Amino acid sequence: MAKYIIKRILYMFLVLFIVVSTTFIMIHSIPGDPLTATVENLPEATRANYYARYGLDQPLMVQLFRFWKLFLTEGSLGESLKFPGRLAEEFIVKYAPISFQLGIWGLVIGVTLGMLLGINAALHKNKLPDYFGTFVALLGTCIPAFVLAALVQYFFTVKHKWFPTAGWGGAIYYVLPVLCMTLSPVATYCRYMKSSVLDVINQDYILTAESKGLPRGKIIWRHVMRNTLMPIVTMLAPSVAGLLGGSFIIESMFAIPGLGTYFVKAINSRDYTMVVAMNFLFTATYVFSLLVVDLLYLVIDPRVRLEVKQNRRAVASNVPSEN
Amino acid sequence: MKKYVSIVLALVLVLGMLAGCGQKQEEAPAAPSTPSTPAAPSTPSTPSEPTKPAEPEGIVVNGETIDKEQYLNVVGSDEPGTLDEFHNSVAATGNILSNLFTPLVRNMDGVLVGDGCESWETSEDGLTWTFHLRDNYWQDGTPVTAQDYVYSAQMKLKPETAFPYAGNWYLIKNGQAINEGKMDAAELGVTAPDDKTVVIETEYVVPSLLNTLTFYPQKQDHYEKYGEKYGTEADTMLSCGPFIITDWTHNSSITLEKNEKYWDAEHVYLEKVTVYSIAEPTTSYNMLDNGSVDYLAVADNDYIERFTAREDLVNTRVQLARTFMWFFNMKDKYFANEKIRKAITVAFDRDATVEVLLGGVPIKAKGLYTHVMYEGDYNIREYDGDLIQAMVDKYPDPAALLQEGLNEVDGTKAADWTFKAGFGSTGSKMKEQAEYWQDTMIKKLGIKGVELSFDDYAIAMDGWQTGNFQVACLSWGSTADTAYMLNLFTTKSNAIPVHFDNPEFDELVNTLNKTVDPAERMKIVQKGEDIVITQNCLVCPISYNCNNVFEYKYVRGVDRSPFGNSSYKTVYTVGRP
Repeated sequence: MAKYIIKRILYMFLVLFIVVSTTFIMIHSIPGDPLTATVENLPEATRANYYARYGLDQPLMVQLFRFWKLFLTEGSLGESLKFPGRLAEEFIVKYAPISFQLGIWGLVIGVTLGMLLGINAALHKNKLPDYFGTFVALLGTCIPAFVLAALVQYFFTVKHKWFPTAGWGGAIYYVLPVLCMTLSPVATYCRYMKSSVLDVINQDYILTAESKGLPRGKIIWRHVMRNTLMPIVTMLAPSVAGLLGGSFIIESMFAIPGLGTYFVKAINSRDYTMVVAMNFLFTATYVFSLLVVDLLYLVIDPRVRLEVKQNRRAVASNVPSEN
Repeated sequence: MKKYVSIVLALVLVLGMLAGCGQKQEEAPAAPSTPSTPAAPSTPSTPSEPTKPAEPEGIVVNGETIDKEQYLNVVGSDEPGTLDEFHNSVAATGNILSNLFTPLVRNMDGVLVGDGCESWETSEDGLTWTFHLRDNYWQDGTPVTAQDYVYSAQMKLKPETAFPYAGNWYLIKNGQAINEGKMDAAELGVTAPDDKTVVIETEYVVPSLLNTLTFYPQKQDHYEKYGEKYGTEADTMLSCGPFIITDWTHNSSITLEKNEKYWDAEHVYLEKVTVYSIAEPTTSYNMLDNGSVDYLAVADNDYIERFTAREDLVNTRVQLARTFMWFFNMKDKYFANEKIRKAITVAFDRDATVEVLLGGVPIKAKGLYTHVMYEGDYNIREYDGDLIQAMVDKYPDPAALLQEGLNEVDGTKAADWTFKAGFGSTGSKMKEQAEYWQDTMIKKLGIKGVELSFDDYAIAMDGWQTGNFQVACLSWGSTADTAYMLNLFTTKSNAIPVHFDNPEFDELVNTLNKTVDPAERMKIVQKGEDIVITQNCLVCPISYNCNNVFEYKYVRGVDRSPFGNSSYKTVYTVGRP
C-alpha cells in the first residue's frame, strides 16, 4: 500500500517538473516581451538594461536552470516583472486562498445541489423532477459565466441596491460571486449523477435489496449512493483543480482580488515569472488532486483495494522469495 | 427518501443563507451623511461684523459652499505595478504618483504652475532650466531638498536601475550615454548647486520640457532603507505631495488621505480618495450607475446612451494626444510607391469609421498631430490645416490613382490586386472595424481583396518591427514635445516601423532640436508634417482618440487636460446627495 502511494507521489513530482519546464520554454518563445506591450519609446540601451536586471538576456536553458535552482534552494518562484519587488510566491500565498474560497463555496453548494437534483431526476424519470433537472442542467451548460455575472450584477446591485457591486471585504461580498459560480457545477453534477444513478438502480442487487424489504431511503443511502460516487469522485479532481482557473471571469467582474485577474494580466503583459508561477500552482493542484482521488478510490471502493493487494502479491511471488 | 431529501435541502438552504449573513462590513462607500447646509449665523454678533458665518461652516470655493464631508471615489485605469517610480512599467501608476509627490511643476488645466518650485527660468539658448524650490516637507518632517530631485533623475538613467521609460529621458544632457553605461550618473544634466536650486540641462531644445517629463523627488535614505520592497505596499511609501497613501489592497483599491504637511494643504479639499482597481469595464459602468464611483470614462455605446439620458450625470468629451492610424511598409514592393499609399489614404472612409464604428467619440483625423498639440502659442492643427481633406480634394478618383501606382510598379490590374492589413488586437471590436474597412477598400478601389490578420499586440509589433507586413494599424500617443511625433519616423528610431530612412528628414528633425524661436519651430514642424503626410503619406491617420467621460453633477475641479498631472488636489464636491 505504502509503495503504491510513494510511487504515485514521485510520478506527481515528475509530471510537475516536465509541465512547468515546458511552459517556461514556451512562454519565453512567444514573440514580444514585458516591455513591448507597455512602453512605446524603447531604445536599445533601455531594453538591454531591463533584460540584464531580470536575467532575460541569458540563454533559455540557463534561465530554466536558475528558475529550478531558486525554487529548490529558496522556495521562491522569482520576482514578478509587472509588479517588481514582489515575489510570485507572495501572490500565491496571499491570493490563492481567496480564489479557493470562492471556488470551494461554489463547488460545495453546486455539487450538493446538483447531486440532489440528479438523484431526484433519476428516481422520477420522465416526470416533473426529471424535466426540471434537465432544464437546470441545460441552463448551466449554455449560459456563460460572464453573462450570468452581468445579469446578476445589474439586477442585484444597480436596479436593487441590495449588494455591493464589486470588491472584497466581508461576508456580503461572497453572495453574488458564489451564486454565479454554482450554476456550472450544478448543471454538470446533475447530469452525471442522474446517469450514474440510472445505471445503478437497474442493477440486480438493488432489486434484491427492494425485495428484501429495505426501506427506500436505506436503499438509496447504503447501496445507490456508494456505487454512484465513483464517477462523481473522478470528476471532482479536475473540478477542484479548476477552482483556481474557473473563477477568472467572476473575479474579474466582481473585482475580487484573487489569482484569476493576475493570471490573465500576466499573460497579456508577458510577465514570465507570474505565468510560470501560476502554471506551477495549477499543475501542482491538479496533480495533487488526482493523487487524492486515487487514494479516495481506495477508501470508497473495496474492489480497488483488493486489486492493489493482489498486485502486490503477484509482484512479490515473482521474486525469489524468502517466504 | 423524501425525508432525507428535504433534510438535506433544508441544510443547503441554511448554508446558503449563512453565506449572506455574517459581520456587517461597511460597504464602500457608505451612504454619505447629508452635508450640513450653510446656516445663517445663529450666535449673536455685533452689527458691524463682516458677513462671515459665526460657526466654522462651509468653506467657499469659486462662490459655492462645498460639502462638509469631502471624499471621492474613482476607478483607476489599471492596477499600479509598483509605486516605485524607477521600476514601474504600468503607465497608469503616474496618476497615483502625482498625488504622493511634488513634481517641480504641475500642468494644471493647461497652465504650468510651480509645485515643488516657486519659480523657474530658461536660458536664452533654451538648453538650461533653473528652478527655485519652495519650502516643502516629507511625511516624516524632513525638508524636500534639491538633492532629492537630482537623486530621482540620476536613478532613472542608471543602467542598473533598468528604468523602463529611460528612453523618454534621453533628452536630458548625457542621459543616453549614462544609460548605455558610457558615463557616470553624476554627469547627468540634473544638478543641485545648493539645497534650494535645481538646474536641468537638455541635449537639445525642448520648449515643452515641463509638459513632457515629470521631475519627482525621492528621498535617498528612505529608498535605500526599503530597497526592493519600496513601492510594493502602502507602508513603504513616504509622501511629500497633497495626499498620503493609507491603504493599498492589491487589485482592489487604494486609499489616499489628505497630507496635512503639504505646503498647499490649505487648498486641498478632499479628505479621502478611494481609487478602485476594476478590470472589467461592465463592472465599472455598474459602479457609476449606482453611485459607487463619482466619474468614469465610458466606451460602450449602450451605456453611453443610458448615461446620457440621466439628469444627474454630466457628459464631457476629453481630447487626448493620441492618433489612431494605418501605417505602410516603405520596404514593401507595392507600398514603396507613393501613389498606392495615397490612394489608400484617400479611399479610407473616416466619416463612417468615426461616426458609426467608433460611436462618434473620437475626432476625425486631419493630419499627424491632434488638436491638443501646441508649438509655443501656435495650435499645430490650426496652423497646418486639414491635410487629409486637401489630399482627398486633390485626388478625387482614388481607384484611378491606385491603378497608376500599380502600373508604375509591375502593371498589376487593381481588380487582381490584394494587400495585407495587420491588426494588433484580437478583440471583436477590432474585427468588426477591420471587416468594414476591408469592404470599403474593395468597393472604393475596385481591388480584389484585403487579407486581414489579427494578433496579440506584442506579437504583431514584433512582426512589424522586422518588416514583415504591408499595412498595419495602431494608435500612438504623443507627449507635449512636438518633436516627439516627428522623431518616430527618423532612421534611428523607426518606432513606427515604416522604414522611411530619409536623411533629409532626419536633418530636419535635428534642426528642430536646435531651434528656440517658436515661430521658427512652428515652420519646421509644419514642414515635417508636410513631408510625413502630404508629400510621402507615410501613414494614413484615421482619428484622434477621445474619452467620453460621465461625471456626477456634484463633482468639481477635475483636471482633464491631455498633459495634465494636477492630481486630485483641485477636486471637491458640492451638493453630494
